[in-house]
Amino acid sequence: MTETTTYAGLLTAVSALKQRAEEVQLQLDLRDWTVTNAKNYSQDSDLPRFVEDRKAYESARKGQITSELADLVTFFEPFSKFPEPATFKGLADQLRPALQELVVGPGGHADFVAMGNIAPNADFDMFTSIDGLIPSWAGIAAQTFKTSFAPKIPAVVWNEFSAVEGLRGPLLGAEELWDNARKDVCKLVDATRAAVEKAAPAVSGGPSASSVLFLISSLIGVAALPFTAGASAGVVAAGFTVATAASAVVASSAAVAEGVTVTISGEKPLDLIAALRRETNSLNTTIWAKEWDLQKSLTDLTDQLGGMVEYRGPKQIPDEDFGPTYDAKLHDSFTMPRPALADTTKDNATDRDHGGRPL
Amino acid sequence: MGGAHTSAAAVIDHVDVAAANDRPAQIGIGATGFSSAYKTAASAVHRMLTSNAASLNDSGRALIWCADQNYARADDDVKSYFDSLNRADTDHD
Repeated sequence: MTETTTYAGLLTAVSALKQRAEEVQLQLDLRDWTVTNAKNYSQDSDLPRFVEDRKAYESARKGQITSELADLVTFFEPFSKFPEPATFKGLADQLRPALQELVVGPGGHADFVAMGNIAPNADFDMFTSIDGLIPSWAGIAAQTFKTSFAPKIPAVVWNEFSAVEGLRGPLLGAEELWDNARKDVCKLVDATRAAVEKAAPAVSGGPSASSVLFLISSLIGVAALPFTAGASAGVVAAGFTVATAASAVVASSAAVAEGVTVTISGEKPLDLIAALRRETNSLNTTIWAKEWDLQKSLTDLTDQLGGMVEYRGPKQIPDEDFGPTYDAKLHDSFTMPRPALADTTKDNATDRDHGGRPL
Repeated sequence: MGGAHTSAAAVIDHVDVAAANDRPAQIGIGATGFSSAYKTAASAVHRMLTSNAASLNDSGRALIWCADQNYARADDDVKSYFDSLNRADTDHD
């Protein structure tokens, strides 16, 4: 029966693998030594010398093998301390009440980085009839608020909703990243153990073992953030991307699935352990790239909220004609310019420049 | 509406991802993961929400002042009108 390593038992499994690899490597090396040197002990009288020389070789070789594998458990220690995936899910769930505050409209909004729908916030229920709620007043600030500020609110609130999703996406992506990473490092150890057993003389009768496995499949897609800014509101549609859980990406038909085929192969256990180290480091490189994507989606979000966009000039020459530039419309699509009405005081509320009087 | 923004900002403020990202330095993008990038983005989201909350709350308060004072002035106008009628109607006590 094939053993399956759990992440909690990773170092124990590596320690057992190390011990087994030492045993099998020594068996194979002694067999090879015997085959190579048999011609030197052709007489019956050579037997004591054969036993003595073989023992000496065994002792020396055992020391070499032990030395070569001495740091294997230490090598894996950092890989046994990956972040806890469920913690990221818990943090993403903590942000959900913020989304619930930022839903305008009768149908609610789709939770586009996870599954489901967020119900509308009753605080915005009367907003659709704001024209009727704010009577026509003569004051300039009141008029401007009614005609220029208020109509933009639904689109801006949607952008706010999307920005909060921009925070949740990387958290859900991290949950999936570390869940897969934990499984994958265990798979590497299991595959190596299987290959070591395959190499053992008693089992296969011959060297050369390999084990093929797939790592980090369907991990973390990046979906375009679906801004829906009303044209009449004059709000710029922003275009930052947000990392999402793969399930959500599949649902939005924008999956970026990635499968990596890994082979642990070699003639003897030391080769297999070397392949294990190499592939574990390669896994870490993959983790780095995926995590960098998550981080990038957060820095992009920060840039967009600050109104910064990538400028591309007509020359299209990197480093000369590219760079970030400030777009006030983009900034204002998230943070509304403070309306003059907001700076009204009790004393000037009915002045002509402020609220004025009803027409 | 301003209250909804303030509540959303408070939620953002209470989520700290630093401990969740903690791991040995050689793993992924480093010991603190994307904690710093998250903190910066969360601050920007918080700033956006509190700024919009202030605009909405202050505008709402201004509209209430306008309404109150216009009603008060309307009341004064009506009172003044009836007072003038009273003065004109010498038969009325």
